[in-house]
Amino acid sequence: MAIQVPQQKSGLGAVLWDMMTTTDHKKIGWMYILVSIFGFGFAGIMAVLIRLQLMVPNNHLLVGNLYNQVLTMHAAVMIFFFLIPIGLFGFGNYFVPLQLGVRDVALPRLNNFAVWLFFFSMLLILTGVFHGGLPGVGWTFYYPLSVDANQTGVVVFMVAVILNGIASLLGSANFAATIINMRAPGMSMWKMPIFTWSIFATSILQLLSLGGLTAAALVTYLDLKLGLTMFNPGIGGVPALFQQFFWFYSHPAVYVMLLPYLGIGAEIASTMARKPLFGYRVMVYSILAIVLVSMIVWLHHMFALGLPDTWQIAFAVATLVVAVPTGVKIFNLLGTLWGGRITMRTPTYWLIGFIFNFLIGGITGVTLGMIPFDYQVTMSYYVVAHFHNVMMFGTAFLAMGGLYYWWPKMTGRFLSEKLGMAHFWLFMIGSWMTFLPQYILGLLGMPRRYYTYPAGNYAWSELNFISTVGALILLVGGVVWIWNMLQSLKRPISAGPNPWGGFTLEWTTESPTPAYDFAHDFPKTFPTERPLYDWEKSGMKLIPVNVKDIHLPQSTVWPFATALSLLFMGYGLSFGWFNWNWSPTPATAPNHLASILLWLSVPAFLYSLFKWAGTPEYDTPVEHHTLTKYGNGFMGMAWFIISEVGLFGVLLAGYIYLKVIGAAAAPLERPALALAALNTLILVSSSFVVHRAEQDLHTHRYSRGRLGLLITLVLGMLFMIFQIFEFSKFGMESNWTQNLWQSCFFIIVGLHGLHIIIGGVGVALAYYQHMTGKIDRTNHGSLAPASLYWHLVDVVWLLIVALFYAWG
Amino acid sequence: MGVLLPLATSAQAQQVVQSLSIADRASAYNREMSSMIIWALAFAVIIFVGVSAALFYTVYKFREDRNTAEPQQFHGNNTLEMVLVGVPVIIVVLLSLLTVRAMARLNPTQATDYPVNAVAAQFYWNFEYPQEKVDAAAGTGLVTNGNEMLMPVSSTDPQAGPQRIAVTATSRDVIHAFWAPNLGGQRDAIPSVKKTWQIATDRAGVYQGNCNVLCGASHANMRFKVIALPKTDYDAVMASMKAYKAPTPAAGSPEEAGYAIFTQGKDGSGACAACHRVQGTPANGQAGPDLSFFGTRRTLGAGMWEGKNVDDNLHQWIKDSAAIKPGSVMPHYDGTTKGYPALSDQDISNVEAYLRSLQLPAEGDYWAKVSAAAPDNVKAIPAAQGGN
Repeated sequence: MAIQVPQQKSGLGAVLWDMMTTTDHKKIGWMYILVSIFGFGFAGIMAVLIRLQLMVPNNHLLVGNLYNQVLTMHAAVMIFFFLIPIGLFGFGNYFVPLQLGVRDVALPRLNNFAVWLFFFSMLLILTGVFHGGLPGVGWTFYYPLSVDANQTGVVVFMVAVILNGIASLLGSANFAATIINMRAPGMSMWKMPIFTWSIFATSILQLLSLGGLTAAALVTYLDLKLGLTMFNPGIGGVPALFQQFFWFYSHPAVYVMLLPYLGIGAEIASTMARKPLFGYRVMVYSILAIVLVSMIVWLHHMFALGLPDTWQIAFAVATLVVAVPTGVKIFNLLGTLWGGRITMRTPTYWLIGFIFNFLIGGITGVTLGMIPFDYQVTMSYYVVAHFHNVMMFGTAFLAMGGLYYWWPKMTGRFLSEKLGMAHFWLFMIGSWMTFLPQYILGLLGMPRRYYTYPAGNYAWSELNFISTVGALILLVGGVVWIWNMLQSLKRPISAGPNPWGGFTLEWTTESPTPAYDFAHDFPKTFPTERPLYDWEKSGMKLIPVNVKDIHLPQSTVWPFATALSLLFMGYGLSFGWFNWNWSPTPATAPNHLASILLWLSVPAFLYSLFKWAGTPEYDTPVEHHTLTKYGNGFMGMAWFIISEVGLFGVLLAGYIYLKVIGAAAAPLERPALALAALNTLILVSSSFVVHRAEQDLHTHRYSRGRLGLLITLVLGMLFMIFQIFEFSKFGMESNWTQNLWQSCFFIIVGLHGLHIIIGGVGVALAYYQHMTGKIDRTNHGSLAPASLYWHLVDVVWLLIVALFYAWG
Repeated sequence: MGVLLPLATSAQAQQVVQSLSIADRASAYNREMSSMIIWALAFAVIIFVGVSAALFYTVYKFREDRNTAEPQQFHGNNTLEMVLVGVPVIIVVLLSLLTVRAMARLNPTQATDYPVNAVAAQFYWNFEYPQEKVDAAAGTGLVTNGNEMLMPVSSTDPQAGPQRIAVTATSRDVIHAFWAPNLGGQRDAIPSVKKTWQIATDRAGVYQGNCNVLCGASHANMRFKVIALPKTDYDAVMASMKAYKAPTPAAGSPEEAGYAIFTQGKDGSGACAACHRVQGTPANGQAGPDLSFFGTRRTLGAGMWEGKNVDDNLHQWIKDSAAIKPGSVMPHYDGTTKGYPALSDQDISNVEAYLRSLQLPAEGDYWAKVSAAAPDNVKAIPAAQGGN
């Protein structure tokens, strides 16, 4: 980790403490990148093991569930701990503020919380090893395999997916708030670098769609823990509904794994060809079109389910349509290179390799949209080859390109060109050898996720053998890559601020970037998205500032502590439960440990959170300048709320579907509308009260505002008391494992109850800040976001009253 | 690394070459699919060649050692952009129309299609024939066979037989999928859901099928054979199956001892019949694969073993199937499963003998029929059950 702060050599403890407390977007970006590199290595080794097992027919290296566990970890880690984070959060955190010419993200402490929660979610999955085994249900954890008695590690996988999702959403909301609120003066949205645009679009896509994955994981978790279900066919549930939830996110996730890298590719193309982007606006529109269309193609993962033809065809057409904006991106990359003076360095090679490989992956993707062909090859090795073509030797090539391109900026050193070219060609040849035979295997009928295959199927043995040799070549390439990075760190810092002649603001500062990012301000005119080129032509100069006058957010350990308590809570929720009884038999001892941790994690979480809220962001009062009239906290919350709407939207859509098809009929004895009406009254009043309290703050009536928050909390508590009463009564009257409606009720209304608690904690934080004098004329604490969240909880409640209490 | 790679066991080397391919044009489905996808392939080749040529030409022409001039700073070209959006749009529209046309021709299954139910469970298949009720004299229910599916080859003359087969897939536990690439597209088998899909072939033969949705430890060992017979042969086999009444073992024979264990278990527990059905006997269990025609079948463990390998593994299979097939849910008969007896080697041999006796008469031996009907492209599995 010495790379973070190359000037100061310090002990491991000091570096660790720095990571735990930092609010520096660059260090946080580094943490994402390092975890991602680890994830890539880990999942890569899993891949090599898979290939070794499949090298010859009837092999016995990894058999049955063990193979399935390796397979699941390969996919889950590659996706959630490499491809999604390295581009979006690794490079995103490091370079979005730099490209915007600002000194941090909108919510730097939330950023620290998010990166640690992200890291802990990976640790959490791995704890399955100590509790029977890792998840082996595939990263897609299809129902009902996920609740099959012979499976291991699924509960903790679900909890980890949810925590990872929360971290991901907070990071995405943070980017969106940063981009809307904090750009260098004079930089309009249409002058932002294309990479920043990609991160913005990707963040929006995450916020819109991630609710699908959370819903899928949540319902699976509740099924395993409590028997609450929406999918169980035994009581009328629909297993296919799980896939609808899952793919509602997991198809857009494919574009989360693509868009940031297209942005990186465009940056490399423009810099290396010494030209502006070809069709900057069209590229932005294409990104946004991809975001939009990718939301309506998820069904193409499920054609073989046999859903109604009209639905299949509609989604197939949408699938084919995605090819258009994606094609535009490729053509425009070519247009950017055309007529340029192309510097042929490693980033350029990765870009060219990407375009060529992605072309194949894109074309085969179009064929998969054509349903009768999809019926044949879906779930076969053809699909395996296709998505590795798009991801492994598509976007991962641009992840590598980004690393080679920005490495000098991040470390002040170059990566070796020689080793880089070896790395590139090993990856190129290795990828082709590994995956191109898999297309043929799919056409020859080899299903995916098979741990073994018989000898004697035409060409299977030969093609699998070639594929394994390819994977070993990739392994060598990976070793060369790691070696290259390690070697580079031994060299002296020599890169200078702008080694490639880039045109965006990150190239104006030193390499590696100092903590304060820029020792200068920028001219206020941005004629195009390439300010450095324009300013050089018009002779405009950077305006030096005194580094001593720059204020940065202060370090604090409480976001980390909050995330850590969630790790323990997640562990407890996975392997323990809210038990009182204690029976120290050895067989159940780990579960008791988990239960104890669960109990302890709740006060630890609240303590850390309140300490966090009580610690000011800056050690000296600082005037905040945002581009909109809204504070960063409010802006971040406003974006985050999109994801909450998405989550409830997905769950409620599922419930409405089950109700409309007649599967979820309400039992005769069910929670009364009268109590719900009373609760509505309570909650709506509390919304007015909290709004008034916020107004009081603006008009400086502090004591009245404080009282308002207290009243809000009391009303919230009253609501919860009524709801707990109602839940207990309903739970005792009938058995939720036998009634689908009741199951849906407990899942969705219960989730809303959890949101009341979260919202209440939010209001309590603001109240605490009030009490301790943290809220004053200049500092409004976290009241605005808390109040906004409380309104959301209120609105969701109105929907729930309509759909669960009023609808017969 | 070498130690990590225990190579294939030579016992498996016996298997015959199976030629799986979605390009098998004996299937009407695959012909329709091919005539659609050939267009995509044509566009794919044009786009691939065109774009990669443009890419490499650009890089060749404009790399810095060849193009030393300071590049022109242009920001785009609207006409070109319109063309680059317009052409893909046209291609997408064409491909969409082709997809819709193919879907219209392939869907839905028709009343004249011959129905087969494919019931999936961890980790085997039961194939039922809704139009083939067991003769009242022989037993009850539908003709059912485990892991080996029969179908008639297509006939263009509706009088002579069905043109295609309507497979209705469903599952008893997790989601599986029915996929026999030479015959047509796949369909998921979902618990409590029945989805019908069509397959067909013009050519008699034996075709490989596989489960195609991850379903647990032995997902890779959930294979099946589809045996396509000429219509007359098919009818003869079905007639024989409908009339089949499992042979009654001779008194004092090993078969009889095996039958006793099969139907009553040992020491009052562990009867095979609790889970397995044998047509024409009281054994009517529904939780496991149907064993009515076990002696005629040439595969074991849902296609894990074929031919002679069946003989090598049957004993171990009965004793402890999970030891040779990961995740097999059948109880162990070596005393390690609570509530199930430990069978002696003699007991197991008796059960084996009984199972082998469950044979269709010669006119129902579909393996013999398919070998005769399609000696070249069958790749039929040789019969290898010693003594039968």
